[in-house]
Amino acid sequence: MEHERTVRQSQGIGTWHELREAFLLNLKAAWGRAYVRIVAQNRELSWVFFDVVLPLLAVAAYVFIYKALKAPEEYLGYVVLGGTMTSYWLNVLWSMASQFWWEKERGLLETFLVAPMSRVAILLGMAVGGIYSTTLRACATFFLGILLFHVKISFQWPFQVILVFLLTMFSLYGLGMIGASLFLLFGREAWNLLNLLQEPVYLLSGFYFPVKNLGFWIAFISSLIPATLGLDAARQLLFPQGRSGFLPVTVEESLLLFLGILFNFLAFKALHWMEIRGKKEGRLTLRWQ
Amino acid sequence: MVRMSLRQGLRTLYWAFWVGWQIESNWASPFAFAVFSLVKPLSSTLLVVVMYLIVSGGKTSSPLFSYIYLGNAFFVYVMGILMGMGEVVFHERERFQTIKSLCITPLSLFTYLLGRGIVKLLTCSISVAITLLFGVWFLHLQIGFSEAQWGWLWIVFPAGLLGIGAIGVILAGFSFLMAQHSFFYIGESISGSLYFLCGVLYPLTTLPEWLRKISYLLPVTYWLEAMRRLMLKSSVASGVESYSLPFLVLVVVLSSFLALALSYFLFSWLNWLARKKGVIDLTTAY
Repeated sequence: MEHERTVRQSQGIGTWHELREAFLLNLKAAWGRAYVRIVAQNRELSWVFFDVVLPLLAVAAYVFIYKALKAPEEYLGYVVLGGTMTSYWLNVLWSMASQFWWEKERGLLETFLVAPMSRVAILLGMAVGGIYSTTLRACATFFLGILLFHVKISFQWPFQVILVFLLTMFSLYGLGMIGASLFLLFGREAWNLLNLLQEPVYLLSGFYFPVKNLGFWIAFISSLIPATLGLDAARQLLFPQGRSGFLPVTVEESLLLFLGILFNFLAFKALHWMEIRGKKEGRLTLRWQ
Repeated sequence: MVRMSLRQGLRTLYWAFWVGWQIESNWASPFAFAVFSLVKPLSSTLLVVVMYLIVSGGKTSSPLFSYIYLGNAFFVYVMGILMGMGEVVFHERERFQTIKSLCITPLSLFTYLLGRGIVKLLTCSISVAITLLFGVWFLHLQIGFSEAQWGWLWIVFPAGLLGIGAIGVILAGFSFLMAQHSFFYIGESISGSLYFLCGVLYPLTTLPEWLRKISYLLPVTYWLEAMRRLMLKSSVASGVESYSLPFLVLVVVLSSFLALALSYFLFSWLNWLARKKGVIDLTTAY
């Protein structure tokens, strides 16, 4: 019996019990990472306040610039939508992609690496928790923005809007997971790189304007960032009068699904590869470099 | 606060500048640093430019475009110096954990912070220069100077920067008593509010009347208006166009010196309070 178990283990075949134990362990690990984002982030009420108000300040500035330029009404809606998406993008950058780097800076990465759960479970928990807590704030920002700036949105296709949202989150957080792997190897340049990935992405992804205005090829390349396609599809669904679409909504949904599958697959591969490389080069525990 | 001779003060300033410059620049090769210095300010500017071009149909010769462009360019100083000086405390306390070492040296933390602030000023100046050159070369930004205006420019430009730096020092003082997250939230709220209220991207006449009253209380509003009057060939009904240039300069200079005096005493008190509470080297990690 013991010999059979050893043979099975050496061939990578676990018993049903072992597989179940591993699954439960990773589920608990994912829940542990999600718990911080679901529960703890809402304990400090000032954070909730700032997470809602700060995007609104940027939204307000861009709304008024469009008002000064006497832009069509739907552009105010584009700004509100873009401001909502910045919450997700910043969450992907600062709470997802750079999470392992933060842990490395605090000297806690070793604890994560020696723990018996899968690193993928940690990332999944971070993604789920991040989506939940950011959605609470983003919804508040979105609806406050609509009310404050008298934006008219269309509710003709609510289920399709939800589908676009889910596909965008699936692919966006997959990209964040790839970032988490890459940042394992970075030193001090990570901070500057994170700062660099804000405004250029707002510009190239058309956060505050229809991305088709950047030209086909720039918009096409920018579509590698899921926020581009997600925002474009959402604009077409919520503000159909604007005729602002880069690609048809169904095409964008398909591309988002493809990107999501691709990014999540690459994230799993990249995490393993980066960890091995980091261990070989001795960079996993280097702080302040 | 430690009493220092002028020579000690200048030495502190110099070495603080050197440390700050190393931190800002040696994380990458010179080429990568140059690319970073180019891409970041330009993308922020191009975002606003693209928004303008889409709606206006490409009219960069309009006075409103120059108004928006210049305001956005110079606001880099506000965001960079305000947030940057508070970030110094955060980096020293939490990331590099050297604040205790700084506190036991015979230097003045206030002077040290000013030295680090000069680095922020330099990096922001590079960004502003790149932005303005880009505007002039590629977007036909209408900038013009006359002999008479240079004199005013030499007064109002550094005075405005001094005032912004003073607010940055006050923020840095408060950051001694804040957790990491709280500082970033408050710092971004202040710079975001100034971005929204000071006529950076649009004339103040676009804002509702009740918001405009707040804008008139903010010195940055007058600083930006003065810079536009001194540098642009054209003008726009901005909401403060009725104020004369000497009045704008006076407001900026007076408010800056007041802010500087307040920053020195407030920073000293907050520093003392942080030591008294035993939180000067507290790491919060959240």
